[in-house]
Amino acid sequence: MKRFVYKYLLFVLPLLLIFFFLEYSLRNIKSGYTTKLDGLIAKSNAIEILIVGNSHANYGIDPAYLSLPAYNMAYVSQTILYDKQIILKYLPILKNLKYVIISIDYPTLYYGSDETRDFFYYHYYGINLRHKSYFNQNLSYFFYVFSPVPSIKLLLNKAGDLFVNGDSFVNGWQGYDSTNYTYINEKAGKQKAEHFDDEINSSNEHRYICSEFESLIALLKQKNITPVLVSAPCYKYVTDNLDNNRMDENLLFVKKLQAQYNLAYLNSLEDTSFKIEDFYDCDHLNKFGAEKFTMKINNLINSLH
Amino acid sequence: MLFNSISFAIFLTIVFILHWFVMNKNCRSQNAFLVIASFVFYALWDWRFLLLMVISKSIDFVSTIQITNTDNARRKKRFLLLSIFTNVAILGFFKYFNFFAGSFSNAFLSIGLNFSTSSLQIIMPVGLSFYTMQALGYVIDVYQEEVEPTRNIIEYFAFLSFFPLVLAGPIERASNLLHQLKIKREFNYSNAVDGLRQILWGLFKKVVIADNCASLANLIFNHSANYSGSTLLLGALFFTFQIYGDFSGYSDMAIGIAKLFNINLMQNFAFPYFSRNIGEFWRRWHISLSTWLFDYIFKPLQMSLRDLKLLGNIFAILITFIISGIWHGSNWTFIIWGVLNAVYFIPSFFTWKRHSNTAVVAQGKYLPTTREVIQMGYTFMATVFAWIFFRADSIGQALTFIKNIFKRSLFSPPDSRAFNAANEHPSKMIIIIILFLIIEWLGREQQYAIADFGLKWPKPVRLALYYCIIFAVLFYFAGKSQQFIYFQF
Repeated sequence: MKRFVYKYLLFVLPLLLIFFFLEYSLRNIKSGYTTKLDGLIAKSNAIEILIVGNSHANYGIDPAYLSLPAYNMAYVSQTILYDKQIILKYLPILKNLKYVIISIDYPTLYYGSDETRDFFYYHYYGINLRHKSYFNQNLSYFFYVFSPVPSIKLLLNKAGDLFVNGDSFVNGWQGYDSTNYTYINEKAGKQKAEHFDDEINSSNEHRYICSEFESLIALLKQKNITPVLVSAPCYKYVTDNLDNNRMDENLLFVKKLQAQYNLAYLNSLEDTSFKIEDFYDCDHLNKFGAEKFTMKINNLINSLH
Repeated sequence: MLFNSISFAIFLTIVFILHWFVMNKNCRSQNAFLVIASFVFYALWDWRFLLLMVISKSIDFVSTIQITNTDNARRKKRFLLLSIFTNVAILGFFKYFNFFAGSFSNAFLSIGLNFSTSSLQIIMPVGLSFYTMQALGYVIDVYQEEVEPTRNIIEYFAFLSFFPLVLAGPIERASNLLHQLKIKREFNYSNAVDGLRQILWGLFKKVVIADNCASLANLIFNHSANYSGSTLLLGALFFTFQIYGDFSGYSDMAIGIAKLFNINLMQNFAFPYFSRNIGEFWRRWHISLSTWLFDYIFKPLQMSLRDLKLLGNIFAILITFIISGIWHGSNWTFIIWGVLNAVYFIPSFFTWKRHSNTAVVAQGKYLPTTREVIQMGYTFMATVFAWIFFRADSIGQALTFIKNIFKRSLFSPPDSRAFNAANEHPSKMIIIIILFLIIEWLGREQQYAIADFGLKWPKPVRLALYYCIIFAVLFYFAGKSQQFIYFQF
């Protein structure tokens, strides 16, 4: 027996060492989530404008161009359900918060979340939206959060936008420097629109999301914080392929909220003043586009007070 | 808790340590601990399943005691029938209620009668088919006085609920397993090392072969109308390796785990895709089920139909295979699969071939003869054909799938665009399957492919081989432990 245990341990020791090293590295990796949260906590007393939403707001709204101290807490694939949870959780420390800019995009009212990102919000922000048991994930990040191949890519800093490196954020904002023309064409635009539709079709939470959205607005109003709704521009290759009926439904919902809560809304989805040079790809602004879009939002906010 | 999960690895480590270091006093404490570990393992799926198992199997335990206690033949038979009835009723209710209710409803509807049946949301307890058959086999063996029954309920539940086999077999016999539980087990170094090796090979089959083939087979079967004949054939081949890797991988892990406790379970797969005829295939595929069906279904049927002579044998084979099909699931596709195998099997039953090919193909040689290659080829293709029914959601889908294979596009290259869109790489998988088949071929005279593989190599080379297999498993471990196909049966 002793011989078996000894030889077994000798055999698995290298594997265990590699495993524990990977686990430690993955659990402590500096991500966009941690950087954004650290920044939010550090600047919580100064922040007067908070930006939430998905990648359109993450890349498209640069706090530097807003007149009041602002912070961007939007993130890639962040849905309105998480926007609400983040606001609820961190509102108590945001003592001077006056405005919340909420990005509302084509799939916003339909798409709840995906499993992978559910875990990230649980892990980094302590938000368990789906009230799930993350037993396996807590047991091993290597196997159950990222799985081996993405884990290695992540550690080599080649994970793509799933888990962007947090070093490049300024006031929570991270921008693209230029236009990637290979990503802007009719085919890519069509694929993006199809991707939105796939997201929408994969979810049946439309009513729930709408009610959560409305309750968020009501909550902000109750706290004397002004919600500002914005829709970021997409390039024509995307907008030409979006379902008009769905866009009308979205607008109808926003108009209903506007009427009920007296809301400000900037709809730039099909704004033709944004040229191809303002985009990074078909539906994300680069830093020049972000400047232009943020200035428009700033004008809207200035007009409110 | 699946065998291919981290939580099971932790569970097994704890059970192993406690078994050999804490509960190793005597046979009684070893068995009691195995029962507790097995109950915990099973209850982690759903505690209600455990309750069902304990209650239903207690009836079998009492039945066997009563059968042994009495000399009255009628009373013996009454308890045998009680046990059979209980087992069949539970299995029938959980597994087949909705199927039969739906089928009756459809049949009445086809003659214009609207006879609606309420469809219950019945969840089938995992492993039910396996432990029910094991228990039934035990009761019948006791009735036929082929085994001495145990009067120790701990020993009985250790036999019936032993955690490596409770979910998906092998369907053990009392003559093999129960007597191993009657004596104190000593730790056996070489058996434990062999067990670890077999677990590793089972993991490889499951994670690398089965799970990867599953993605490709699912892609093709789920969109079969869009693909060319050659792509569909490829899909059928991927499923053929998926089901083999999945179930034989599970069996290897179960057998390997048992070896860690110095318990030897029966071999469940013996390289079935190297069979030279369908009779040999059924001696090598899911051996514990095949032998169970042969002993407890076919032989009694053959005896009772002996007056019909040739026709009686044909009926006995047909019914046995249909039961095998129904056992796999409540769908007409499984029944057709069973009938198809009976049709394959019947000709060989009445010829000398039934008794041929009992030894491993090309025993002691590196390569088979041309004749053996041809024999293996057509047996394999006949099996692939039958698996299409097994995998399809309906008979209609299976027939369309088969019809679409035999189109002119069978001779065109498979649709690479479909695979690229789904980020799948069939060519990589084909290479892996070929390597896998080579290793299986080289190890076909052993209980599992790498039992003897590389044992004479220098130690560093052998260790490198094991690390390579481990890294291959880790590389393909998708994060979500994929469930085993046979759990649904």
